[in-house]
Amino acid sequence: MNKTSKKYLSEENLKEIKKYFEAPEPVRKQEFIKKMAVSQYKNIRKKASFFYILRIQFSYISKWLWLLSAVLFTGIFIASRYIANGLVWYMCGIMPFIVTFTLSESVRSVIYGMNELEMSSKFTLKSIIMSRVVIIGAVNMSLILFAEFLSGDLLWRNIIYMLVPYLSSATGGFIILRKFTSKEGVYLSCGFGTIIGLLDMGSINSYIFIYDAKYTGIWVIVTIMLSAAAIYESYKMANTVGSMT
Amino acid sequence: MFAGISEQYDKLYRYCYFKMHDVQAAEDITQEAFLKLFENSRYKEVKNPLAFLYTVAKNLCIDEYRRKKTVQIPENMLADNCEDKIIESVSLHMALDRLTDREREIILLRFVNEVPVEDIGKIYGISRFAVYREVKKILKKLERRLSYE
Repeated sequence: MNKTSKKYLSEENLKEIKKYFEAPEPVRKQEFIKKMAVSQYKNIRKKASFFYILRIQFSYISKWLWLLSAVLFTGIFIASRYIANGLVWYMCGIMPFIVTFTLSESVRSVIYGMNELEMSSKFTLKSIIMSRVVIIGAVNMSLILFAEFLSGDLLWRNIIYMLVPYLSSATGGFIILRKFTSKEGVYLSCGFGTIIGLLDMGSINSYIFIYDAKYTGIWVIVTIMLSAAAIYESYKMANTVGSMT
Repeated sequence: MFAGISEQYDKLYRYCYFKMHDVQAAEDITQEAFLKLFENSRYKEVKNPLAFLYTVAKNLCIDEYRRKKTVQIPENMLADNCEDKIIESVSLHMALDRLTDREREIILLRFVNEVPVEDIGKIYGISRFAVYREVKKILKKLERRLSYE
């Protein structure tokens, strides 16, 4: 009992209050506890980690999305290998679009009323979209790096040039999704991804100087800042997984 | 999670019984609330299991009320209570009787079930300070009525 309670409630009164709220003995308590305690109570400690969600979502990503990523990747790889050099420049612009496709693919669950499925699996739409963006981004990034390696064109700077548009579209998309909880949020984040992609394409054509080695420091700082923002947003979104429905 | 599942079962059952006045319904709701907690905990971490249990139980009681429209208080219970009132500390029981359902519920949660103030706040969707204020107000009310009777 705290100070306030002590002031108003004596030990005797407290006993009486407890008596007032007395309930008849429960009938099925022991049976229930025996049944549940062994199997279910252990499960309480099992937490759905973000990696668990990633693993589950990996299998749910539409084959069309994988196909689209593969087509984009192959097309650009062939173009850069046989038509023009500089695979990285094309891929820089493509990454936000891949994020956009992932977001637009995820919104189908809202449009076609598949939220029930999502709810029954206890994950929020946001966490699903985020995990898909992370999976698609990571897979595509690895493929690009592999292709770069095959082309003999792999530079650490190239990784940064690809990371910046990917991280900015993903982080921007997450922020928009967090701020706008309705369908509009997904449309806006898709739009945002497209704008980043177009800006990136534009910069490759018109402002190629920004990719000069002397600006590498700025690129590194931007990448670190965007990574921090992406981690922060991911953390915020991942927390929604644990929130009560 | 929380200490003593058996103890929490008793407390939650008491809370449900207070709301339903029916042993069968109270126990059904208690078990359903625990099952929901276990089910949720398999997929995600439930940060405030106690608040979760009481919130689920509270909502299930409301659903049950709506389903049955009105839950009759068994006559024998009223009679028992009356007898109790005559035999022991009539005034305190009467003072408690005169509180609103919500006020009695808060007294039950805080002093009988010993639910932390923070969790009570979560159950009602109010701040800790609002819970403190409300508890203080109810206790003052009880004290006033006790001094009257």
